Amino acid sequence: MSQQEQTAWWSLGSGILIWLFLLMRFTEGGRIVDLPAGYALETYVQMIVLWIVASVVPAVLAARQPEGTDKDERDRAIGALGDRWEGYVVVIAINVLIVHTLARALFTDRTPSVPIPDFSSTTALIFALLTTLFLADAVKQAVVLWQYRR
Amino acid sequence: MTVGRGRVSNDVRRLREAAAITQAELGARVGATRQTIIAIEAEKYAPSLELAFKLARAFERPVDEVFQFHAQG
Repeated sequence: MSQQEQTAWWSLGSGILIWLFLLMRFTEGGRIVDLPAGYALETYVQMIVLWIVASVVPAVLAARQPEGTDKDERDRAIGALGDRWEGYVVVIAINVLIVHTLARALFTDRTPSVPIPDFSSTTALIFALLTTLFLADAVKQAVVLWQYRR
Repeated sequence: MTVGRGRVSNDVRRLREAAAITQAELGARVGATRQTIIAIEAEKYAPSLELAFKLARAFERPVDEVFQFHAQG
């Protein structure tokens, strides 16, 4: 397995774990809870620290094993494809959030038959945006791994 | 004249084996990783024009002897 594949596996795994940490902090019984701003900020800072640590570990491991760390044109092409899919996910997710928020504002008289998160709550909005980032990164790593393995 | 989509095949494996060099050695000569040479030999990756020329030069062959384009449709 190449260094790039190992890094992609690491990023995918660590991203899922950090998102599960967010899920644990932002939800209760499967529903997004309204957190005090201080607690939400604390969680956000913790998430950033975890993300930095998760990003630094593969770089440190790669530095200790310099062979195989050089990227060639195929690695760059695969990386670019991953970045493109990451962009698609962000664009789609942001548009879903916009349409969802507009629909909630337009159809105030209707009660949805299924529970839908209310993004007017700061916590829900932060959670949705962070989930978008993690989902986009997970898709990127999955595309990268699929390209290396196909 | 328009040319539709096609498939690029190659003789990299045959030429490399004839030259008695490993995938890693060939990769080092052309500035690609062993994984990329493996992918090219398996025809799962079509290299850039630059890499195709480098590979052809490594085998001292013209590029169209190493790579072939098969038009479809």
